[in-house]
Amino acid sequence: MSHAATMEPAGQNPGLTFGAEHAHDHDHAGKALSGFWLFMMSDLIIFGLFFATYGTMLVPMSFAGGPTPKELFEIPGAAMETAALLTSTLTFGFASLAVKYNFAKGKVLGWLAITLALGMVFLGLEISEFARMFAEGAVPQRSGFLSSFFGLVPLHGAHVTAGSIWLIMMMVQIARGGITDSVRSRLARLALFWHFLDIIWIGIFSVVYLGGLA
Amino acid sequence: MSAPHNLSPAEAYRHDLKGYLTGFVLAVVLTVIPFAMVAKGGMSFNTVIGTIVVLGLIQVVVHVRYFLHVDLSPERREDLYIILFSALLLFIMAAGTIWILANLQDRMMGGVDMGTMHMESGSAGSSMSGMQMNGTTMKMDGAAKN
Amino acid sequence: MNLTQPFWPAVLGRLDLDSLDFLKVFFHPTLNDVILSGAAWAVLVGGVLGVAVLSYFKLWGPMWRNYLVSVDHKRIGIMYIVLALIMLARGVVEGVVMRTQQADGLGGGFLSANHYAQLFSTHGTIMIFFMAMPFLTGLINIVVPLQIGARDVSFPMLNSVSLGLTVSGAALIMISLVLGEFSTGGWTAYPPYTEMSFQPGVGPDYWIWSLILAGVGSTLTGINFVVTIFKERAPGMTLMRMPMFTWTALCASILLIFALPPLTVAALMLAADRYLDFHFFTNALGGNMMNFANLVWLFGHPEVYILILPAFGVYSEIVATYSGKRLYGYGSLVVATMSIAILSFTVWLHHFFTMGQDANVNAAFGIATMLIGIPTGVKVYDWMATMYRGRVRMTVPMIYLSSFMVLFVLGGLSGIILANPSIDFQVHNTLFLVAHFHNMLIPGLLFGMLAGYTYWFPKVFGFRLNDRWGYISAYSWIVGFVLVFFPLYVVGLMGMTRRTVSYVDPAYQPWMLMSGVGAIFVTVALAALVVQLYVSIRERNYTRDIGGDPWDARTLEWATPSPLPAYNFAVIPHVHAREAFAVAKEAGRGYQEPTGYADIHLPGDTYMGVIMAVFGTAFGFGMIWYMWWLAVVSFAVMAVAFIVRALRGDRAAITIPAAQVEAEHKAWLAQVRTVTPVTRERELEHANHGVAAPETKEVAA
Repeated sequence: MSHAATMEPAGQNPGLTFGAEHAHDHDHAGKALSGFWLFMMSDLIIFGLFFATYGTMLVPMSFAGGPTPKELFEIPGAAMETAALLTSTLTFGFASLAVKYNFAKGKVLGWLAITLALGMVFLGLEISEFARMFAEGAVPQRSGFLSSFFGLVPLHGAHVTAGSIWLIMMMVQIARGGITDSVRSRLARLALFWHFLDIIWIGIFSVVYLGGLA
Repeated sequence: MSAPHNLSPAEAYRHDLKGYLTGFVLAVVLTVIPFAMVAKGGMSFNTVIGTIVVLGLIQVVVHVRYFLHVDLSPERREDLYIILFSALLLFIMAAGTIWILANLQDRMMGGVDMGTMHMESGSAGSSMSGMQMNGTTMKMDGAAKN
Repeated sequence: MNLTQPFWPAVLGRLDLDSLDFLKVFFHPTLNDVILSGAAWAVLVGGVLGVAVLSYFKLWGPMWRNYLVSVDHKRIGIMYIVLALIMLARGVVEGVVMRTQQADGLGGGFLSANHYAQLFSTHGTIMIFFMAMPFLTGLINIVVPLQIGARDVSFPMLNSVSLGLTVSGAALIMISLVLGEFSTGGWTAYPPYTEMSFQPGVGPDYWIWSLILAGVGSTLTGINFVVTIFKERAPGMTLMRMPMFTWTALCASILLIFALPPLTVAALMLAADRYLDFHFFTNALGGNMMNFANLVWLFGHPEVYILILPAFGVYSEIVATYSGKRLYGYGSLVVATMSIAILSFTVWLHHFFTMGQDANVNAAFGIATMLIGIPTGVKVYDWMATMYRGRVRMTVPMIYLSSFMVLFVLGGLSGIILANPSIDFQVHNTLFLVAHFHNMLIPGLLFGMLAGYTYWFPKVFGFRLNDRWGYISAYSWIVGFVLVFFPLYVVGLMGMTRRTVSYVDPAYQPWMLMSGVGAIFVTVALAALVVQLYVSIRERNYTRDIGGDPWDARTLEWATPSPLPAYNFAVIPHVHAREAFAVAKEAGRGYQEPTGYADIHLPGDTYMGVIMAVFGTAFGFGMIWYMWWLAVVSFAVMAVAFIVRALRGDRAAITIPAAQVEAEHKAWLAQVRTVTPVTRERELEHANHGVAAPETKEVAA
């Protein structure tokens, strides 16, 4: 965008000109990425408010005589979930690099498969943790505090599930059509999404698990 | 994520790979420290919470820098502004929510069911005024019923 | 048919014969139930009539091809505004019924308390989410791409999806008139009253799902327009050259992205409470209903500015155009708009000053609330300064603008009063508050939208709206508004609470009668809008806008033919100034021959919008009536539609060859040369065919 026009003396400014049309650079991938950033930030506010609600429920009134964080949470489970998700963020990074540097599509698929597997491990650990809590009677219907826990943590789990479905779709697309521009653009967005979910998880293990057990 | 332009593809790849690995190592360190502190126990509540919060925030910055590749460079300026703007609004909303509801909690339920959490976070003083306030409210309710 | 057989509950959920509102009149023929059933019949008959008209005139095909599957931002904008006008009609009728009830409400009235509560709940929900939001979204859709010199928005398919989701929310609200009841918890639906223990029926569920669907649609709209404004601007259209309406659209879109999440969160948590027996907001087991008020207003206050900023943008455009002057204080208007956008996130607590937090918290939010009046005041001064020494033409939009400036400032003053917590304690929950926010939203939002509708109508449809009926409507809105709402300030100060069906203090009655008379004027205003549209269509051959510039306007959208071709601009313009079209006209270059043409690529049609509208409605309906199979199937269809579309890729773009563009554009330019330019004195006459005669130069005073 030229600023030269603003330099023209008053009265000479043509206001509008209609030059021959440039071959427009329809940077669709760039736009989609910007739009996706905004979507994630909107999502961030959703998570933030679930966090804030959880924070307001850490009071005796909201425990309602039911289990408290100290009685419910365990370090090993949270640590394993964290390890799985953190590693998956690195392996997704490797997949992104494989795409960026035009490695064979098998390599890309391999890293994506490892990422997906780690995501599945994470979800499996999370589900078994919920099952254990349910068995102990720590159901969301028990207290305001547990409602807010089962609002926040499974919301993140649902995002990981959506991300996993998206991963599978990308793997299908790559297996069928190779690394096309459309794949690059979508994979860039999925990478953002996956790394973003790991950032949310930092909040969850810090606030919910470590904060609750400290 | 962009490597400097004067690098060969192989060098650029190593540069990028190093970025991811640096981020990962930092993230692991920043995760392990608070986990270890909580697992070991024995430190004061405030120290542990303070450490968790500070290291958590640093880890968020690490992830943004090394995995989302948003840094101070001009080409990522737009995304940086989006993140900072969102962080500002998130802070206003989340901190505001906690502030308002903690205040209400103290004033309206403080006298009824005081647990240990409040004592620990040092709000006993304000809960006292909450109890008094609560008493007045109850009296007024009683008057209205009569 | 016995609906209690075990088979039917699985299929129909909790839908049974008692849910059929249109039958109520036959069982209990009281006036209350006649009105209840009458509304249901109105929806049914209206629907059947609509289908009949479309079939009789064989309009199904054209409607499907040209509108429903279209991704053209102008068509999508038109559909938004049609939706808004339909919902406006329903909202106004509800308001009129409520005013009539209260005029008759001394010691009773003709409506049941439950019916009245449904009325104020739907009235509020509809006016905010399904009148105001679609109206401004529609205007933004139509105008913003034109003002920045773009061919479409960044994500045309997403635009269609947003519309589909908004329509599905509106459809659910309309269905609530026919099947079952709406919430009686007001438009903010505070728990615990909206929890299962107090309202086990379908009412709050209608509220939850229509708002979640429409809310997701609005969030996507916000994302779409922020990216569009940042990425699609024509060469030379720098941020500080953007027209004010685009600036306000940008700020409103940013607010949409960040302010809708709290509403979504609040509605989802309420849904979890109602459907899964969670305890976010319940009385028992540690729920905290105060957090709902907090969340809803975290959304609700920015929402006020989502509604009002685009109207400010409309006013900024028309004040410059109809004063024949450049907009005064452009920079200060931009800064004021951005300040309002940020400050709007810092005042939400003033909606619940009386909830019980201590004086320090209240004071902090009270001060923030007063601060937000400052940038708003700056804007009013800028508009006045724009009019100062301009050659002001009191056209219909200017009638709206000038009444807005007086009434809005009065409403703002009552807002400053309410911003003081100690005063708020006295008047909260009274009709004073109702008077205040209607005083902000009717002149501030509705008048702005109607001004914009009148202003941009010829650009979209190629002929002007009839001004006589426009004046009648505008004056009726103004008189009606003043008569309806100023008495509410008085009775509010006298202590009359809001949301009460009847009252026992005879001192209220004269004011309520005055307010009821005002409702007649409002009805006339609405009817005049309908008549205006009819008359304008009938007389369209006399008011053709051939040149595309009927108001001697200043911004880029007027440099195009009316009605617009699908591609908007034959050649994307290069912009060299703020208010570039006015500058170009001054330089004698209003209608230029481009030096060359190129092929134009436009996005292909999409079924996604229709799929979202149909299956979004079905999903919400299934959730509301516990027809789980319907909810699951509908959700699956929507998800699969996205996946299939993602895997198959975008639909083929339409390419318009350069030769065709050139032919069309040259034909238009030739036609323009045959039109006699008119001076501003003859602006409203039949002679005005959209080519403006150059203004005689102002004599420097």
